[in-house]
Amino acid sequence: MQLDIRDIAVAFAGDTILDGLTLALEPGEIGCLLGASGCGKTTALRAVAGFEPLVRGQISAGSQQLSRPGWTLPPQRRRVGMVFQDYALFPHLSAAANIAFGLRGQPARERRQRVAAMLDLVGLEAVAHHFPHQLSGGQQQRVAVARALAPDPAVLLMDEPFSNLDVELRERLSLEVRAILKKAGTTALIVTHDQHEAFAIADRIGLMNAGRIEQLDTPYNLYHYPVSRLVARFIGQGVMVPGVIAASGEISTPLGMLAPRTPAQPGSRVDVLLRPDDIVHDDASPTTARVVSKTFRGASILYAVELPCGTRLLALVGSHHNHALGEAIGIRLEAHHVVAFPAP
Amino acid sequence: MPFVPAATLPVGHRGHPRPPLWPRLAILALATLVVLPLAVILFSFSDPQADTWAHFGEFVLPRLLLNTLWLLLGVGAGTALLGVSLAWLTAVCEFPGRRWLSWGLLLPLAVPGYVLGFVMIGLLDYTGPLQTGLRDIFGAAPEIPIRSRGGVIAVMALTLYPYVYLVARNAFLTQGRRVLEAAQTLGLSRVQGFFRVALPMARPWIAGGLALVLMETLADFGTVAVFNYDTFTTAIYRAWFGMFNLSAASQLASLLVVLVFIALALEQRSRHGQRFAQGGRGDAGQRIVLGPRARWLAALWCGLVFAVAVAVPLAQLLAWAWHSRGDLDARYLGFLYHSLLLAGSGALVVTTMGLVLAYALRSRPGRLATFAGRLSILGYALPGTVLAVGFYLPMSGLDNLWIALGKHFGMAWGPLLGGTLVAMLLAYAVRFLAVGYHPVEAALHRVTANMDEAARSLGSGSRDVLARVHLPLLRGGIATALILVFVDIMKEMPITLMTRPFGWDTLAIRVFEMTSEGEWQRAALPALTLVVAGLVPVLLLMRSSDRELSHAA
Repeated sequence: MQLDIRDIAVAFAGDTILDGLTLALEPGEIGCLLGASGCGKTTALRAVAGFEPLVRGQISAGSQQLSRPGWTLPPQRRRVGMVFQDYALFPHLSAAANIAFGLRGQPARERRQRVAAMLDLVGLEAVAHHFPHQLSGGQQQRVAVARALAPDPAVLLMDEPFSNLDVELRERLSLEVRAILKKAGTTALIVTHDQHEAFAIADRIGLMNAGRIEQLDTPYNLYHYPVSRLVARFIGQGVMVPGVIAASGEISTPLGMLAPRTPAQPGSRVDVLLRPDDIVHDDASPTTARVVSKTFRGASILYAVELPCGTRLLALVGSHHNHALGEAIGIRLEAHHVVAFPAP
Repeated sequence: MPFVPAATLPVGHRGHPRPPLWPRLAILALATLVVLPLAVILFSFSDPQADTWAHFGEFVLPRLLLNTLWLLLGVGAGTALLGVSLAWLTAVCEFPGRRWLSWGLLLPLAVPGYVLGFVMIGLLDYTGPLQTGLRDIFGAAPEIPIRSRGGVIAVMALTLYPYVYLVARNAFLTQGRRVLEAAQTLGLSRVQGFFRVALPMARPWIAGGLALVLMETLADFGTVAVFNYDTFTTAIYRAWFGMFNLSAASQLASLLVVLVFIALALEQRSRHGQRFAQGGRGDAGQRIVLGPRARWLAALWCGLVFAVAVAVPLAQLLAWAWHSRGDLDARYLGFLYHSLLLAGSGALVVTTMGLVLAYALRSRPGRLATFAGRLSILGYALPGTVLAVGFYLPMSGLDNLWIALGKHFGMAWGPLLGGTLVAMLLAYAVRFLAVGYHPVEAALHRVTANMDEAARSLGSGSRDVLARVHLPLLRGGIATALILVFVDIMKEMPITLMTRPFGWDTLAIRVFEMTSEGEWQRAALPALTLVVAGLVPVLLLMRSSDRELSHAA
């Protein structure tokens, strides 16, 4: 079902936590709120779940209104499922009984079928009768997802769903959960502070800052076409290189001329965002830079290099190009997405 | 009080427009309950009976103070020595019988001090089986001065050392043998390591256990009464029943409270230390394997304590009880009935209060929680004699007022509050609230705020959350609270003795009456019943700490 969050504001005792957040998800779409801690992303989730009242704006799912100022449909009546950061599994109930928790009121036979279908969906038939403390972290997480999906919610919410898991498990599980959600066709809204998690699971990501969404876009666009310095800084790595708009309309930088995506006033100063993968190591290149530091990453090495003019860059280079600190290496610019911000 | 289950409340989240009022009311009511008896006994100073005080000041007080201080010193030293040595041996070393002794050494918790006291006197006195037996064989026997200061101290140390043993053992187990190994790699011998590393690390916990021992010592009435050893508690009792001097009893009680506050301060300080001396994770490592002679000495020491504190007295009780089995009659059943009735109703009252308090704190966490925790500990520290006086006076005052009011209207109104029964239940409640509150609170702790919200997002209303999530998870904690309070009230002596309605004799009262007449044999059957009841919470304790340790491993 469609989720529509329109210009909402939430305040606690005079503190405005959310201020004008707007987000719409298509049926079956997986959205993600990404941001540093304290940006209000969890509050947004709790507002959708019905745990926080609105001061302004409205939230609706499909044709049903869920929240507006002065009126909040109680959580138990809004058909919004939620997966908590600590999973909040009921320790006195088995995995199957946890999944069946929200199915009260249905005939026993349907309930059993639904639980079986959910166990099958998350691949936990074998441990259906285990209790939460007997399950691994990943299994607990999948029980939590199944439990939230069992009553067929209009929207599924997930609060930092992978933060309690090992780094290796995280990526695998976020792909797995994405597959489960897509198979169930559920509209989902996920909150995380980890961009890799967001990239892996979401169709669209809303980067949050100070109670509102700074940019709502696909992972690809968020990385390559950030709309502000804030987004550019938060997502991925990179450096800002100063440049000047030449008479030709191109941007003149220490690395050469670049074509801007949007025309700008000749003579104005800009900062160009250069990602580590925009800088290519090329021994034949006339431009050289001195290696300042390096981080070995297995398949590649991340070099920080310094141009003779003092500008620092990051370059991602294949791992067999092993250079010593202080060595001058040839570099070349190969930017397909030129993003420039007016200089402050 | 309007009891609103916390499930209906937005748990622990700041900024909701109107926070509920009832948690504050609940805590206020509790505070009133704890402060009331204190205020009553302190108020007694406004009516000083000069002649009584002159008499007290000259003859009684110095002796009471001296007796009490000796007792505190002796029992403190004795429990520290027993508790720490036994804890170290069973937690860190390996010797024959260690496994079952480490649990067996907790069993003295089931034996009330007054029971071990009269058994020891009966056993070791001039007319007791040991001395008569020795005289029969050798013609003469050395006199054992059991009815002495040393005797009381020994008996109380043997019943109270588990408080130190338990915490010291936990501290030694969790700090792990790693620490000791680290000390050894830094050039310390094992003995030096014990004194310079292990003991200082465990000190906050040991001090906490010792503070509990001192509170129990100050509160003790039954044991010192058996030995005719005068302390504040027995003096309060005698002022109350011997001289019917209520203000003297209250004034003595307020002096006792001053001592209690000193012990409490010690306890609070030790808690402070525990925060900074967090031991590492329990780390199994290797136990110290003792040498061939040392291991038998260790087994002998632990076995000896077990024998003297548990095995011998239990055997003697069984023998006496068998001897006086004719006492197993309707009267005994009457005592049992009264014990069960009082303990049952007391346990219900206390557990309900604990439940209300736990929910109150859950919906309003923060500084209130600390305050309420302190209050419940303060209540636990107040000796039964103090509470009995502090609740009896206002209750009987209310009753007299009521009856006088009835007379004024020409009616014969009976006592309003069921005589002193209410005073008794309130005194129990204050004394044992900490006992009933902690298991409930621990259980409620397992129900996280997210579980409430998870249930709600799955379509549960507040009553449904309470029935399907809270109740199943709280059941164990509530049962534990009921059992612990029940058994504590069964063994309780001074409150029951001083506030029971006429004819309400319990097992503990029967033990008191028989022992004050020196009828050890006839005290054995009710005493044995109390010991058996006391075993239940000890077994519970063993089970839970077993689980904890296996989780840590």
